[in-house]
Amino acid sequence: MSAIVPQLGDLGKSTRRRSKRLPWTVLVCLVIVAGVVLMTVFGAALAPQDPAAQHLTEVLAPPGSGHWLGTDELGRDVFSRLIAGARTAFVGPLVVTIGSMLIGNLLGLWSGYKGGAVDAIVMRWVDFMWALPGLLIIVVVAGAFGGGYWMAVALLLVLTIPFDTRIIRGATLEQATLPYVEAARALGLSNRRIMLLHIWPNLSATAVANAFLTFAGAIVALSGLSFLGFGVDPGSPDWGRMLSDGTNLLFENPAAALASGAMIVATAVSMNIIGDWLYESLSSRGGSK
Amino acid sequence: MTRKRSKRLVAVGATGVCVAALLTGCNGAEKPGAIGGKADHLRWGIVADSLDSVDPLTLTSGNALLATVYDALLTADAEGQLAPGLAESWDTPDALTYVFHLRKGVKFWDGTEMTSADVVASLDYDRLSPSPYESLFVNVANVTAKDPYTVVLTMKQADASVLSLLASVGASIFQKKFHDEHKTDFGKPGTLTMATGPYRVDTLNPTEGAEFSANPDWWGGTPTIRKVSVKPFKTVTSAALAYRSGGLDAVYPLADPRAFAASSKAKPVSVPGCKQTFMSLNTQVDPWNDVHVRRAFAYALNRKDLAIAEGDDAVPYDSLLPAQVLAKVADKADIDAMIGSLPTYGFDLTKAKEEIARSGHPDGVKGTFEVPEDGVRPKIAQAIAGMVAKAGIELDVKVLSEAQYTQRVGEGAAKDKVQLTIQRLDCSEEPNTTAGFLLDGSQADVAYANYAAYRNPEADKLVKAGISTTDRAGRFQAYSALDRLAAEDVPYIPLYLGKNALALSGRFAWPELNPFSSAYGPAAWVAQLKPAS
Amino acid sequence: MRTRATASLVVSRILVYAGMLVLISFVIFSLLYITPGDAVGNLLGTRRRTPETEELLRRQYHLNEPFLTQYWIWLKDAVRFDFGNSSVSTLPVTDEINARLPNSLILAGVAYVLTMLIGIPLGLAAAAKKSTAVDRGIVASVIVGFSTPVFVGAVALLYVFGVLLGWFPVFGAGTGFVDKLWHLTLPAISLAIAGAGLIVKHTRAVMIKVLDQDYVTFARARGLTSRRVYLLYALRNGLIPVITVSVPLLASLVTGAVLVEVTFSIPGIGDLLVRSAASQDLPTLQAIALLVAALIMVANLAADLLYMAADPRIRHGRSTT
Repeated sequence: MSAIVPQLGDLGKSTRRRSKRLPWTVLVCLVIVAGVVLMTVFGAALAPQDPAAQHLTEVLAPPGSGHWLGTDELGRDVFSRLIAGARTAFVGPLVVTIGSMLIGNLLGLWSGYKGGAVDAIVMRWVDFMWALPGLLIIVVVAGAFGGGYWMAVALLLVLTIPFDTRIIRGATLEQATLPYVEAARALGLSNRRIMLLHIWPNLSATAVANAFLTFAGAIVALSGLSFLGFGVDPGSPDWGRMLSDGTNLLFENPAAALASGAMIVATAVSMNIIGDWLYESLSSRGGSK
Repeated sequence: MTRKRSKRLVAVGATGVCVAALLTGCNGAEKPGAIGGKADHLRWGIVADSLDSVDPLTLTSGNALLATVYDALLTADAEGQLAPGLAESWDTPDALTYVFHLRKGVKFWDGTEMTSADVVASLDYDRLSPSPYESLFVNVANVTAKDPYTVVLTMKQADASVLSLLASVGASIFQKKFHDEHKTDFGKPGTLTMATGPYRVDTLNPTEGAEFSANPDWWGGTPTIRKVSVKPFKTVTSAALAYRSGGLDAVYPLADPRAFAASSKAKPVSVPGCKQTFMSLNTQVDPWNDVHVRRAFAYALNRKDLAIAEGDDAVPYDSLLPAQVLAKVADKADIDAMIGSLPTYGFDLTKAKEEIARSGHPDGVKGTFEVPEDGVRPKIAQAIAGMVAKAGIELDVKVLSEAQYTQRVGEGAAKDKVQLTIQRLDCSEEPNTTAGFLLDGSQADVAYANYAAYRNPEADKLVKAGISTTDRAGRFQAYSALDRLAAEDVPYIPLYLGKNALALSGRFAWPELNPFSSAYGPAAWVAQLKPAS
Repeated sequence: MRTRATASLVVSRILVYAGMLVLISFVIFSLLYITPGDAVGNLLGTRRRTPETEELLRRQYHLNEPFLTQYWIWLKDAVRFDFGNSSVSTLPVTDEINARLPNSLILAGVAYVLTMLIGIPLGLAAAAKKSTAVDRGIVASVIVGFSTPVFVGAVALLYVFGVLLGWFPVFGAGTGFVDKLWHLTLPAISLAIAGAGLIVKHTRAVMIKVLDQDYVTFARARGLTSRRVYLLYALRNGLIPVITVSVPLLASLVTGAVLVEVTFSIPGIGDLLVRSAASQDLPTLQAIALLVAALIMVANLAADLLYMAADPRIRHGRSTT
């Protein structure tokens, strides 16, 4: 699952400088993400109707004036559920992203900067995690322990950390040999200071851009887990869950079935595009390479 | 690389995007002309995880499939009246003895003749092995062979329901010799089985399904359809798509006809017969041991809406033993009058809240609601949880895989039983099948029975009274009293009665499909089909 | 001298992977050991609990032994491909897996080939036309490709090509190799759409790097046509790392296919995995875990070997991929 998340460290580095103007695609993506963030923060308060209210007499209504996206198989308003569902769809990947960025960056910096035994141990661990069948681990643990949503998020986080670690370690290795690190060391600065205040700012483009890609991967992965029944509880509004519930009704009310899928795709695409754009603009501004 | 070539490459890359866009505009264009299929070959889809056994007591393969393979001593006709099967006739010299005269010349698939020794061995296996049927055989003392064509069944106490049981899949007959040789792997894919039914099992593969061929020597006449391929599907949608593309001729039984119709663009037909859907509340576990909580639960349910959510042609019902189940013991007018006099729980939130206030938990209750992932029950469970929440009953809906659910309801001890669940039961023409199964206190600690762990000495007495006589009036009196008890104590909440649905391609006809043959009894539904003229 | 060095490196990699395989099997075994609920209940599955069956299972699975002994016994049997019986179907786990493995392998194989056939040409085109509309178009469709959950794409393909157009069968895995291939085409395409994104990105990045190299500039300066340079120099040097990266993808396709298997009713390993996890069928879970881990190890080993064959520097430098 995580193996599909592309490795930013290997991405082509644009040699030609782009204009500083914000491309319209990125602008659209930013608007989409801002919308999702709003829905996440305010949740059901923004919804025109109670997302949990059932109207069993009007199930699977097509999109219309009463319900913008129609109703689901329990007569709940799909549009309202879409808004309320942003929370679980967004918060889980956010936790995965931030957690993995924090831990992955620290481990990567430490390992790349220190080298030697520390590096060897960390990288063996990364190799091991890399070799673990991710989906298998999640399914086994979540299935056996009856985990639910937060279990899935935690497992995804644990499985994502090695990817970040490897990328940051690679970038740190490149930086560690540069003269400014040598100079900082000669000045007698502490290792911690060199790592966090001198090296990391030069990696920040990679780190931040990678975070966006991690997010995009996590939202797709979590929806897959919901599809398999390892995500949120049945009944809670959640994009992945709505999508899997809706698959059976695809031919009855396609809008209800596909709206949440479209939201997942739109959010993931936006995060990917913003991540790519951030990387290109940040790394060309830094100009260190 | 030329410009033109690159454009083509872009087009390839964009396919995934275009397909997603196409989908939103999907209209059901009917595809004419089905592929493949011969007039005497039925391709039958079943919604199940896998087919892994043809052991008659297996829980996963389903009665419709097993009834195609096995015969029983008796059969049930379209009205639920008992008719001869492998037994040509039977007498009841006294209330505790049944004598069955076997049909002569009935052959197993391998050509050997079926005799009383096979029947005795089969019935001993059927009644003594752990299975949902075990509890129904509880009053049988022993089965013996008097001569090669006579079997005597002796009862511990009178049980008027035993004959119906002998017309069900739970009393399937198979070859003793074969079973003795394959005790540990009987019914498994590599071993299969040896029986007398209209179709013999040629192959069974857990993932690819089963192949049956007609038994030309079947005592009921050579079946018209020569070959049957059974294929398991994980979801109703995938079965519906296969049906729509012409890869299947029939899907049966069909749990979610509406979803099937939407995906297949074909209208499934209702098969006569009925399917009871009801809630069970574990009466031995807090807070459901409080009758006021149970009543509050019943009042909080809008069963009319639930029946609509079921999507079938479902209708709400009020009595645990509905009219269909009582038909054998009374006339319709009497049954309707009796059911009309029972206490009912119409949808009324005020009353629900009053009951909660009167209960030991005036501040509201919490509970776990476990249902299997069968495509329908999770939906109904959510709808129920949404309804009762308004009365202060907060439920945590847990959806289990079908295997996990079977395992869960197999936990026998009353305190370990599921707190709340939704059950589906094919209406039996024999009231004791429902009453004894659900209300007998001696079954409270037994797996696959009395899910509410209901213990009431009065109910036990009535269950006994119901089977100890064959007199209609006496039986009706007992079952009326049981119905009333169930309505007052609410261990179960009747939700709605649905119909069985079948999807059958135009290439086949089912002139007089016998409902009891399909849902309940062992006469194979496939054997009743004919190629359409 | 050099062959001996290579051989020892290969052997050491094999040993490392074998060690990791044992470690993974231990981790999975421990995870399942500490699973809540009692082991006998899980092993009983749908069978009824009686003192006799309970005792039988205890003896059969050595549940009274200490944990490490249990693991050791399991491992000894596992080496002989004996994983016990499934608690759900009561069939030998090996049979259950054998019935599904061919489907999964063919599906993964076809999906892999498609991934490469879609991914590499698109990546090459994007690199060749870097920073043009073509490049941006390809990158955009790649982003949409791997931002789309696999099962959404699968349902879409199923509907359009299976139901509306009727070109492909909509269910099952078919019988016989050719028939299987035909049945598994649509599912494989669904899988390939996501995987191709990775390959396109990688190919593009590698080719851009290669095209920047001095020898390519030099070849161009000598007057070789750009097509010739592209195919002769750049492709040869660029593709090896791409293929290396893609090998682990092959292994992940085996389990990752579960979402597609459900949609297309294909009995495969991924489906068995999810089903046995949901029903806590421990013997089956352990066997699949080991199988998948082994597949991944073999794929990683193959990637390492390819890398070594392609890049002599690796043999001398540090082997951190």
